[in-house]
Amino acid sequence: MSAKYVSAKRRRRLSKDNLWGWFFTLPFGIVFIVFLVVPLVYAFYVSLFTYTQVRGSVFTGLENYRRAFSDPIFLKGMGRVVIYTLVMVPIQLGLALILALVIDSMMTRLASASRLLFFLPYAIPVVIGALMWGFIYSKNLGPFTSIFALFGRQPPDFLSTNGIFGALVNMVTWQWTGYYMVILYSALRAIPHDLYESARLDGASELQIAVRIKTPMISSSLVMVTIFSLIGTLQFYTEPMVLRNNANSAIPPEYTPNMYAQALAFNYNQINYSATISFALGLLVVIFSVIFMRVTRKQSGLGD
Amino acid sequence: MKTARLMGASVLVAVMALAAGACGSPGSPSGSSNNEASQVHNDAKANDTAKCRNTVKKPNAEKVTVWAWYPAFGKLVDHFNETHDDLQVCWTSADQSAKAYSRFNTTIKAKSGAPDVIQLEYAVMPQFASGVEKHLVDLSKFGVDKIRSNYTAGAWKDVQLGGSKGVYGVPVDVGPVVMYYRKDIFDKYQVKPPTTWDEYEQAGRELKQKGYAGHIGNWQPNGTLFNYAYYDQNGAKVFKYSANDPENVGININSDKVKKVVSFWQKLAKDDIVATDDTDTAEWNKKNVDGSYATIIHASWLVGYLNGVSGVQEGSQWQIAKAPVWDQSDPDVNCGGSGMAVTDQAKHTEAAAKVAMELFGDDAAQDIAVNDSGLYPTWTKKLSSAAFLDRQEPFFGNQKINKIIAPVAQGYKGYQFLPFQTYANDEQTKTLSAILRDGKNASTSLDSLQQTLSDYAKQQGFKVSQ
Amino acid sequence: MLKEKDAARRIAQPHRVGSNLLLIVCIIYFLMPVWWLVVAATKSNSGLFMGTGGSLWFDKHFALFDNIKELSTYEGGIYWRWLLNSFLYAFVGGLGATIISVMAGYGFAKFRFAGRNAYFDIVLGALMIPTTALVIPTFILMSQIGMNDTLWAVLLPSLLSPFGTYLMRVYCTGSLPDEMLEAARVDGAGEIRTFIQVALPIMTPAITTVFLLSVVNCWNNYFLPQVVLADTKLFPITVGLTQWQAKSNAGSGSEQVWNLITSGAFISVIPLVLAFLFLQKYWVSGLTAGAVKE
Repeated sequence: MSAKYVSAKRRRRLSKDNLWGWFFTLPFGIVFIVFLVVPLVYAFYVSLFTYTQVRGSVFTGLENYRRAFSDPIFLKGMGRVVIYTLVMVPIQLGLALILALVIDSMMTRLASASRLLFFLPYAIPVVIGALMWGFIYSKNLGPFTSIFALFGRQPPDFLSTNGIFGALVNMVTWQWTGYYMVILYSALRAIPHDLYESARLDGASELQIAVRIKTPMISSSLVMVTIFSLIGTLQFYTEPMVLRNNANSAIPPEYTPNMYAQALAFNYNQINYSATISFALGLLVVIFSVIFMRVTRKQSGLGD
Repeated sequence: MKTARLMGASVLVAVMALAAGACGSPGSPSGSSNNEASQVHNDAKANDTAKCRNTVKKPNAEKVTVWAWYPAFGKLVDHFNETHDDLQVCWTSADQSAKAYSRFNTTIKAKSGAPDVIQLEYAVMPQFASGVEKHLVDLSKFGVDKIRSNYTAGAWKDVQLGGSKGVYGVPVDVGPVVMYYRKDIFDKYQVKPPTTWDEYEQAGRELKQKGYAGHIGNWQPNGTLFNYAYYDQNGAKVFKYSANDPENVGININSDKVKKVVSFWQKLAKDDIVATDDTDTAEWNKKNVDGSYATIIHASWLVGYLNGVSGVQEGSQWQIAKAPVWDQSDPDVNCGGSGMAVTDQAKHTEAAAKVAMELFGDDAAQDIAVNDSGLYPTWTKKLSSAAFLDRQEPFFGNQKINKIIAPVAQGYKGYQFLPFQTYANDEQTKTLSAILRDGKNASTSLDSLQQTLSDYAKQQGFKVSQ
Repeated sequence: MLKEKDAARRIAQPHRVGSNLLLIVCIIYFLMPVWWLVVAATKSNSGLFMGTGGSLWFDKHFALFDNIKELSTYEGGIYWRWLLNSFLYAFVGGLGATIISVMAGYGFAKFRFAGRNAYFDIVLGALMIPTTALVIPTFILMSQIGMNDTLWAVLLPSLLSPFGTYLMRVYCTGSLPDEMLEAARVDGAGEIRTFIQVALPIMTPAITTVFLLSVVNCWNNYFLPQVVLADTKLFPITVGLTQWQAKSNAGSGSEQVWNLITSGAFISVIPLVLAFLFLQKYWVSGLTAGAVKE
């Protein structure tokens, strides 16, 4: 619409829009600038200095970034969270989708009870969930030793170097699957049911309906929860941090990039390099998310 | 299109970040003054409004703020305040080790908020007294030499930080390393508790052979300071650092002596003679008391863990003996311990020094430290007092455990720690975990640990020698 | 018609056994750790380590009430203070974040102001920035203005909720007809009155959702308070319990408070679990609005 045709009334409306639009969004804008933009800028500024114990802080420009992207610890941590993402996201979402479809197709009391119970772990803070699993994984304090003994087996060593990956995947799955399931389930409920009726009349099985009709119908929700869990996993922190108290040597202090940043800042007194790691991580997460959104651009619910 | 817009948005955020960065923000966080004189202050009133965890007995006297996490520290503070009229201790934080140090670091960055006196483990003291980070006051000018003879030589070495000129704290406690063993287990399988490492290996194999389901002991990959004690026992000084020469560090963690120790434990772990559990976990606490280990080589403070978890106060099956040795000439070794240091932010440095020196400096205070806090003293008078040596410990079936532990505390010669000891500990844990759990080659792994630590030291600006 | 339904049911029959089995297995999986916590909360220290019933059954000594008593006395009953702090942070932070998001979502949806598109794109971009990457810079900044170790250091950053704003905008665009607002304006209502009296009631389901999500976010908060708080009196429950865990791991004798960790964890999860179970109906409807576009 070109400006030529804008009537006087419309212009009044526009200036009103300007005033009130900014009025309503201003508080958000302030918080956004103070607690997101400023820390980001500051992280970047701090990351331009290099601190050494002997000489103190010196301006070194982008040198820290060169160091970060050739720092095996950072790269390994990054690689680790990418692997976690590749394993954890499909498991969580796959299970959440299957459960949502099953519950949606059943109208029994068991189904509605399950919906509530699966969701329960979400209401438990991640820290407390991790504390609990720390005990449960323990060979001597947890139940697995006696459960496996029923089958005459030794339980796997969850807290060893080899077991820790599975242990963390399981913790995250337990905590979040129910949440994603509820989102997907509510999306399923919103689909008009006559769609399935006609498919049933055409002789489609429940499985076919689930795969061919229901799942495509909720693809935008699927993309949304995928992005959440993607971002969540890339900034993996709380679970390994808490579990580390039970598996000190299986989870080194720099296990994930976020943990590395914390160790640098608080244990090794390397604030500048820590800010570099934080900033680099943020940058990589944005790049990952953008790639993902490009790949799934059609289904994406985000954007307008 | 959506994606393009999103990409644009992200770029925009980044650009905003850059633009604002150009405006600059106040000084970069770092360092401090190197000037010795600026470390001493003289403001007796500065702490008048400090908030204390304890109730100060004489509110009108000058206050000195202290951070410490010793058990029963409140009782000790009360004792000090009752016996002093000119000074009162104001206990402001009880954060434990790592948390306290990171908080101390923060106050250093902010240049305010640090206490006058702080409890620091010997192993972290160099970190706060090296390079540009000189935050501990040399107590020599406040007459600390007068009390030197009250303390064991090893503990005094620890607070001198490898040097000979300065004294950066007053020693409080140490952790003499001894062997705890289960009398019932050794009796049941008719095996003799070991006194040398050869016997230890043999006893371990024998116990296993005779059907004992647990392990003779445990090698903890994350028990960093214990591992330094093991190396030291075999004559390996892995780290060198001196406050007199604060830009040089010595790192020698891949010597043959270290490799011998590590390979020994690797062999035992591989043959399943010893466990390789991390310490300081719920699992480990449980295994300590459920008969999974026949011996625990540990510092004096383990006893508190044992009765804390089991709830048993007396008549346990545990006994104490000297730690096994390679040969009889091996030195007595130690793990951990801490002292009271005065910070460069102390408002009235002289008063702070007085508190650091006198807080644990009389018989009654030492009694509280030993009986209530469970600390192992560095005070020679206590260590050699008949009452202390003859005390019967009900938990150990009335064994006179100090007869064994006290000589170890007296015999300790002192260690040197790196100014980035936390980093070195974390790296060592990774290396030892790989060697003992995953069967990596001990020799090459220790060589690469040596390389990693040296690289880090150089990156931090230190000159590195062996 | 009836016949057809029967037919559908018959087709579904073989799946049903499998479906029920799947649900039961999953119920056991999701509930087992919760059950463990219930049992562990009733044990004393030595009951946890040396108890008789195994880890999934009660010890012969039922210590829940002793534990609760001890929670009220240990370190001066600081546990309840932590719980209170958590409520405060979650409620105030959650409420603040909700108000800000609701206003912003409404503003973005209903006013065509200059710079709106660029502004909202930045918000969307921010959805992807990991909040934890901001914690350490925030900490450094706060330490320079002396805000660390205060209530505000935890509360203020939690006001930021780009996702809440996004959700509110989607909901407003979809469920709040312009005509309705126009009608109110024609009747002479000011913008603020229109917002409060016309828009807010319609937005209620989405507001509930955003509020509950923000509360959970703040309740879960760990990294930020862990970093910015040193004063134990300000800790939320998450930081407090992990501190006890660290202490129990490394401490001796009286410092081993495993029983307080388990019983404290158990008590702390009760309020939110109940709130969620009872309020699920309300907040799910709002989430659906955000999830299902068009």
